[in-house]
Amino acid sequence: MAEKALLGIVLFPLLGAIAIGLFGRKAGRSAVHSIAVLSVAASFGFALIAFGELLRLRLSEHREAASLSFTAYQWFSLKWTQSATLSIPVRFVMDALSGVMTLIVTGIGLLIHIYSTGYMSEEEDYARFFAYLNLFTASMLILVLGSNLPLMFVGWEGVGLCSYLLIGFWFENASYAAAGRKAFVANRIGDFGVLLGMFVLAVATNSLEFSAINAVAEQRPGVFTGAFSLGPSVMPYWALPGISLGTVATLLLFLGCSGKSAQLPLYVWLPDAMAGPTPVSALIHAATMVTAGVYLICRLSPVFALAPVTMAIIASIGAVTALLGASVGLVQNQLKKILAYSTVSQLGFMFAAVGCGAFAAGFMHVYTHAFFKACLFLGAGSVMHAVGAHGDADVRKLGGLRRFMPVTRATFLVSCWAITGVPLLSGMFSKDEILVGVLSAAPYFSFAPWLAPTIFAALVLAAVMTSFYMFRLYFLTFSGEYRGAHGEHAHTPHESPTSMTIPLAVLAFGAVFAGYVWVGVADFAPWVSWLQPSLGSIGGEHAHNAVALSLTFGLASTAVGIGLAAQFYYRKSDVPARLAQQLHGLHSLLLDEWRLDALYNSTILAASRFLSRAANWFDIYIVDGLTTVIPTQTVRVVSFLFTRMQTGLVHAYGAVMAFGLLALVLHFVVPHGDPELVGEPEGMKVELAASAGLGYEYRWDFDSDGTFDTAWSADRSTTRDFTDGDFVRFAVVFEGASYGAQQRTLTLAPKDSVEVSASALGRALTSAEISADEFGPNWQHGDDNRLPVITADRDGVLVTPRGARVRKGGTQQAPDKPVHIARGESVTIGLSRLTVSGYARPRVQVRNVFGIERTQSVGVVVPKVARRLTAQVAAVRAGMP
Amino acid sequence: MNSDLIPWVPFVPMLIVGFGGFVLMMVDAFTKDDAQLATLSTVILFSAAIIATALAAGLGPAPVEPPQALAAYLRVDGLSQFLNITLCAGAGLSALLAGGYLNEHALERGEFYALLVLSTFGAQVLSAASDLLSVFIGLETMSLGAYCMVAFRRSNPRAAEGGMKYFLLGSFAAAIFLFGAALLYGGTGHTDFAGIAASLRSGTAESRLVILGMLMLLVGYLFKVSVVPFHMWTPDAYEGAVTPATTFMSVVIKAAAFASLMRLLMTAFADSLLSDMHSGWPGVMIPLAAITMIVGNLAAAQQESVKRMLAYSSIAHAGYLLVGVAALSSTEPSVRQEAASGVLFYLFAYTVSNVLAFGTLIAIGSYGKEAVSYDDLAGVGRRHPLLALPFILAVLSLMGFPPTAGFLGKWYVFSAAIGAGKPMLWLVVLGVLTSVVGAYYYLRVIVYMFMREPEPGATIAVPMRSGYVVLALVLSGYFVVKMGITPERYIELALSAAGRIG
Repeated sequence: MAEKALLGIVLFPLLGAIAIGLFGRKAGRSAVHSIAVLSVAASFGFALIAFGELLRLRLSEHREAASLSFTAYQWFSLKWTQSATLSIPVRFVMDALSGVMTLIVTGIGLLIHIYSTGYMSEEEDYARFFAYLNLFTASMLILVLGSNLPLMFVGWEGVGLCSYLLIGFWFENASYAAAGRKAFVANRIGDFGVLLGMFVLAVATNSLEFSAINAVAEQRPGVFTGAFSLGPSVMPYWALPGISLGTVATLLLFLGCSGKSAQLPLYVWLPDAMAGPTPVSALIHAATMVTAGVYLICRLSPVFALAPVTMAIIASIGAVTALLGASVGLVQNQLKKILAYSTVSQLGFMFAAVGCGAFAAGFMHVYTHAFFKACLFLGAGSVMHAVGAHGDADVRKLGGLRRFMPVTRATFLVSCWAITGVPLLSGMFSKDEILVGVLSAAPYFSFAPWLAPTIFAALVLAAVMTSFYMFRLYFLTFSGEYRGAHGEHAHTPHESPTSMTIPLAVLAFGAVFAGYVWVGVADFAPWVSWLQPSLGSIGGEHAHNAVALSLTFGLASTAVGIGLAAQFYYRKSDVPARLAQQLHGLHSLLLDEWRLDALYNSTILAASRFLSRAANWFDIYIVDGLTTVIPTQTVRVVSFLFTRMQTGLVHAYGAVMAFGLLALVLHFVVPHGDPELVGEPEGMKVELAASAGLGYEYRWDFDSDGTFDTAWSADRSTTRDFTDGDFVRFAVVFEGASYGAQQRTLTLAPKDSVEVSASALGRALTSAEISADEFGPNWQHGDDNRLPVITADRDGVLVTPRGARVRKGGTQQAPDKPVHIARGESVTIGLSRLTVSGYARPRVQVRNVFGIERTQSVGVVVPKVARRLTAQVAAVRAGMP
Repeated sequence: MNSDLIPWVPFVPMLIVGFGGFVLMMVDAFTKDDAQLATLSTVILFSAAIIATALAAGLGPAPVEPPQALAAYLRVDGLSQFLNITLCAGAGLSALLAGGYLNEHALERGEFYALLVLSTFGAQVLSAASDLLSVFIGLETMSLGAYCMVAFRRSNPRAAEGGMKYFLLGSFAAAIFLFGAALLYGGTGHTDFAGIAASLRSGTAESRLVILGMLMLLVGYLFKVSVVPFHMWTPDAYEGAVTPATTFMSVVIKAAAFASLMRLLMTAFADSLLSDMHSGWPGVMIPLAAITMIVGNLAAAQQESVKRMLAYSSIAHAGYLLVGVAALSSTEPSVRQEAASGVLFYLFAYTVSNVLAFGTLIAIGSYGKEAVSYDDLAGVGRRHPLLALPFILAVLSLMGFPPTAGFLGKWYVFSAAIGAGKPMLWLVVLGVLTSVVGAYYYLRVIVYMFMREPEPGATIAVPMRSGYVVLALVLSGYFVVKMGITPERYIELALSAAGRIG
């Protein structure tokens, strides 16, 4: 029963989205929001049922790794190796991690749905909004509950799509539509990384189920810590030196996480995403979707833990992003923009935490942040609703709102306390644990002992700034006098309807109390022990004094930030204005959000614009020009010539016919020998046949000495056991070292030599040349790029290495002494192989009934040289895990 | 039924058409209303086609030995029965077109229908003939009617010129053919296909005479089906002839000659030494198919007259068909059957597609305002969308665009050729490439109809009104679509016909 609830969790919002999307326009507003709210409420109810069952399994039956799983159906399967099939089911799994995340998504989603019924009440496109919002909820739940990477990716793309649709919800406004597009493109860049990471994981572990991948990480860590190579069939001759497979896979996945969760360098879309309606900002761009990156890292934390290089990169990027977001937040004046940069900054905290291996702490912050940041955004929405602002509100025109909107003000204040880490509120617990986790990671980053302390310092600085900008925001908005009365918002602000204030109150309650799940009693820490079975670990203990240091610095940062903000903005100091003047450069840089958008525009985007112009040029002049103009003009000229042949003179027509008749006579009167091999040579024995014809007789000259070795016979086929005397040349059979290389046969008479070309990149090889590219890597002793010389003499073929690594019979030859290869022997140059065989050119003379004779010949290489790499690759593939 | 008559049952389609020709001449002599002749000849030809269909489908009495007098000369097997359907249907549709065209252009003279029906009779004899003598009689009966039809518009110098050229070159080809037949008789002592084959098998044949005789026979056939370089007469004759006669030539004469060629190659010259890929007849068929596809398509791309374009297109189609004929040399019996059935299917598909194309060309013009060149088609799609529709269907089918009859015809012929092995593979590649060139001039028809407007001051083609033409368009359009979408029954018919050649 509880398993089936998992299906209900996903299905109800999806059905709601479909119902509203199809019929919402016709149905009334009340029908739309009833369906929307009830479907998410049902989803929340099912989530509670499933979570209750999970709790029961864990607490009363003490099953540590308990999880619920429901397989809806088999989605698709791939023939993976010769023995294994990679099957991808649509399966939902709720374990400790996804359980908590599901509750966050459905619970906060429900509150925001309720809030939206009030906030969007004036909106024309009511049904479209709720259809998107429900679709988002369903996608997010697929992302969270999907048991494998492909299914997770469906949700991952789904939330990206809904985010795009909702940011551009008011698409009549061109800049809003552009913001949606920007979000989509930035996310696509990240998704590319997720896909590649997925492929690497699939090749490495032969599975795409999270549980199976994590099991491999725990039981066979060597798979991930070993050097990166995708096996001989994909990457035969090279591997990335010093980079482990785990590092590659996790870096690729992290690229996706940095797109989805707005980290450097892909964070730029999130501030613009505030173009969407405020509930969207609260739900998607603060509480749920943007934390999906953190969730994915936690989900695969056993794998990430095995890649310290990736972890160091994640932690560093998190710390830098936290600083960057907080610093921009210091000076901005738009209400939602400050909150957006705050989100960027807080996500940076989460990544710094998971990057330092503090998965539980990072995920704790996901959980607490969901409450207070959603509350802050909804509070901002309430403010904007009250003053009649659209898009965003300028804090310089607000102020004094505490008198008009007491509930909003109270909840906003509580959330500000929570985010700044005021003691005993939820934010303090997660912030403190993040700082502890960062300090404790010093032994893990053994290759960079300075890293953990640096990150700690950066986060503390970011925390100071957080406290400052949050209270700057609070004071500017709620304290003092209302400054908007004379401006564009002429009417008096009012408190929002209850449909909006109740969610605010509930979220504020969460912002206060959510943190107590961390508080341990004796040895029992509920949050950590609850999540432990689902998370990986980097090992090690809490660092000495870490808790004390973190508490001290954490509380100090809160106090300093709030204190400064109160000094500057509550007491109305002119210090901020003077500071802005004195540090004009820095101030405008922060105001311009570090000008990263401009930087991207002039570098990456400029390059991409150049590339697209070049591609356009190529298409017009090369594709449309050369490849269509040349053939069409050729056809035009030739067809013009054909029509000129049609002179209209009947005797010319007759002449052409007579000419045709003559050609036919010629064809039938001249005999056709066209000798060819029948089957494959067996050793030196070859069966040869000429073509059949009415009254044909044949005789053969096998050794090309001009005298025929057989008498006239009507039998068109013959067999010859070739001997050394029959050969006219040496056949040099060369097989390059690249995967799938074909054999090439060059024939050499005594004193002939083969050209070895330095590089054939970018052009086709002629059949009489060998390129140094084909020798494989490290084919020479030094690096002077001298090329070997291949010549033939009377008894065989001579290879003068001239610095090339030539092996004969397994022994390395001197770098400059010619190596003699007799018929039947072979050498390797680098990884390529060169075999000398015999080349005969038997001739056949055919005589037909008209007594006309014709001699034709065919080249024969005996004995046949087997292809080497096909056999080897087949062997390697068969043995692949 | 009188048991003496049963052996004659398979000959009924041929007899209906043969006697029908004489009846037409009689009616023509004693009646003033020439329009009735169109109806009568259509009835004669379609009833022959329907009876042939019933016979091919296995309805009718069980097969018995043919009448003694005919056994050596004519064979009524699957091939000739299938050809009876194709020929009578194609001729019937041409008669319908003539019914509308001749009346509209004041050319209504009764002998046209007698010529058409008797020429069809010759074609039927040719497709059934299993002896060089009967082949020649069929060939000449068919051709004489065609020569007269080409020159039917006597007052028009182009018609006279086309007819004369066709006649002169046709006589040249017939002489070569007859000479080849004489050499073969000299070499083997036989004129019947079975006897020639037996003589080759027993080794008593004089090889030199056989080889020369064979190549001369081939020239006679290749002329009739207008394979390059024996194709020079085709554009002039097609353009000079009245359009229904052009239609008749392009479908009936081509089909009958191809059928007879197939019978000759599969019975008389099936010997493994003569059908060797290098030294035998495939050695000439393959290069000829290649240059025919190239020249036909490239020359068609250059034409400004749609009628002339269709003439070159018929040369190109002869090239595609020759690919199938060359595949008859395969050593695999299943490939041979596939190739033969592919050619038969192609012939029928080409017949209906070409009737549709010429029929629409006829329907778009009227007296003094004929549609001949691409320019005449400008804007037809806007002015007369219902007339543009059959033309679109026709050119798509001729181009080999799915889902039309022409696509499947090409598909079966090419897949048989792929089954036949290596040198044929290149022929298929070339066939596909030249089909791309074909797309250019076929799609040009659609481009002119829909995307061009007539030049100011140019004479605008005015559609004619004729129930005959409409009926022909509906019938041929039906088959073009039907064979393209649900081809199973037609393929079955072609396969069973190809399985009973001998």
